[in-house]
Amino acid sequence: MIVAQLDRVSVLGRDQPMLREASLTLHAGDRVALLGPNGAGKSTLVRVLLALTPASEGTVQRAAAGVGYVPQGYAESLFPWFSVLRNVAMPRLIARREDAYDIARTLTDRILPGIDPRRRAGRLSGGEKQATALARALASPGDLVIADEPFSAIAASSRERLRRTLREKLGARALLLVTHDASDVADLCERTVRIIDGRTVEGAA
Amino acid sequence: MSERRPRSGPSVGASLLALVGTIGAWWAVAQIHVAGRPLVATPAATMGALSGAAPTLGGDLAATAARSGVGLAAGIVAGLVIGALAAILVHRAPVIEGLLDLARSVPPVLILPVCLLAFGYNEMARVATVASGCVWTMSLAVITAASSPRSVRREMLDVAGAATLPALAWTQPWESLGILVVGLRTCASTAVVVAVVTEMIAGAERGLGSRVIAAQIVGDTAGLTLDVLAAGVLGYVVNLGLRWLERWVRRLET
Repeated sequence: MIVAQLDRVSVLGRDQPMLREASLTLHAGDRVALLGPNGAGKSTLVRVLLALTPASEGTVQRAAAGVGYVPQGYAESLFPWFSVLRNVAMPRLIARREDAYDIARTLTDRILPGIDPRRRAGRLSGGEKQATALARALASPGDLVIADEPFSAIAASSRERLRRTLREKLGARALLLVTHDASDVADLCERTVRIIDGRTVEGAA
Repeated sequence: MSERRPRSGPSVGASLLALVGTIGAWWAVAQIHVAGRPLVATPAATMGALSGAAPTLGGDLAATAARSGVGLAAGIVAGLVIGALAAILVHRAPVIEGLLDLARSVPPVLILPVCLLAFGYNEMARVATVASGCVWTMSLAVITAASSPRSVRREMLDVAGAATLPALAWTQPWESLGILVVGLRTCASTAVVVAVVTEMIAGAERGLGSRVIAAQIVGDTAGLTLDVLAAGVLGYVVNLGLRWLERWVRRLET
């Protein structure tokens, strides 16, 4: 089952194209790493998939609502005035799922051990905020999780545990992981898509 | 390489010195006489006036504070409603923001005669004048808050499939707080000034403005100095409370 697809998608920037006929197909259960140098168009591709940036050309089959998403600006993506638990439960609360807080509690216990889930998200450290954003993405009810460098602020000692949790909690969902870290790719992904000058090139992990 | 010395913290001694210096400067200004009268009373004479005025000063201070507070509250409520309506319409008719800015530029005290004609010489006219000094500032603050750029949080809610109203409920009140508190601070300062000036111009049974005019008529420099200080204290306390509120909101945002 295809959960999201881009077919020869281009996005025009102010001076030059940010994506040039980029194609990508994500099936249920896929584990795909999106690689490429800074400014190659990785985040633009993610934003097109999430319908946050419109495509200038090409066909986009967007994922259904409820995609789990860890943005690069994870700290600004949290609701600092709400508790960690409410932040993690957000996608399921929006989807009016009754199990929102139960799922959020389970994920918070697992991903943020030792953190009081009633604590205001604004009071967390950088790494804890990123872990909260990851827990929230995993709490999402959709069939795709997109994570844009989700471990960049996580201490090396906690990364392996979080990778393991991500692997376990993904289930049948597809994962699109934007990363520069080879160990993330080796641990979590089955295939890679490289972006070079806005064009996609498929490969094995 | 030279080592940077850490800045020393606040010192009680320096604060006491500043206080003594201020009182000294006050005493020096009180020695200046114009047309045979001192500009202000000396600190000692002002303290002397306090003992005689204390029973009524508290009541007048409370009357001005209540007048400012009620006018401020009315202005804030009206400003929030007008601002919310304007924020919805301003995209289609940008002239609305200019019109509100024009209304804000009208000195609130000029509205007093309008209110006196509309409501008569009563409390309603005074409170309405104070409210008119706050309503436009607040409505502009609401427009600014509503037109702030879409945050990453709004994008997260879009990705989660949130409809417009739930998305607004998750973000708008909280993201607007900082701007609204700044608007509130401006309004509160305006409210105290307009309340006192209104009492001075239109008169009032109780109030600091009435006291100031009464002291000026009888040439009571010590009483006048005391009343001016009391108005300053009222404004300072209001500002202090709102600064605390602003700090709390800033902490909430981060």
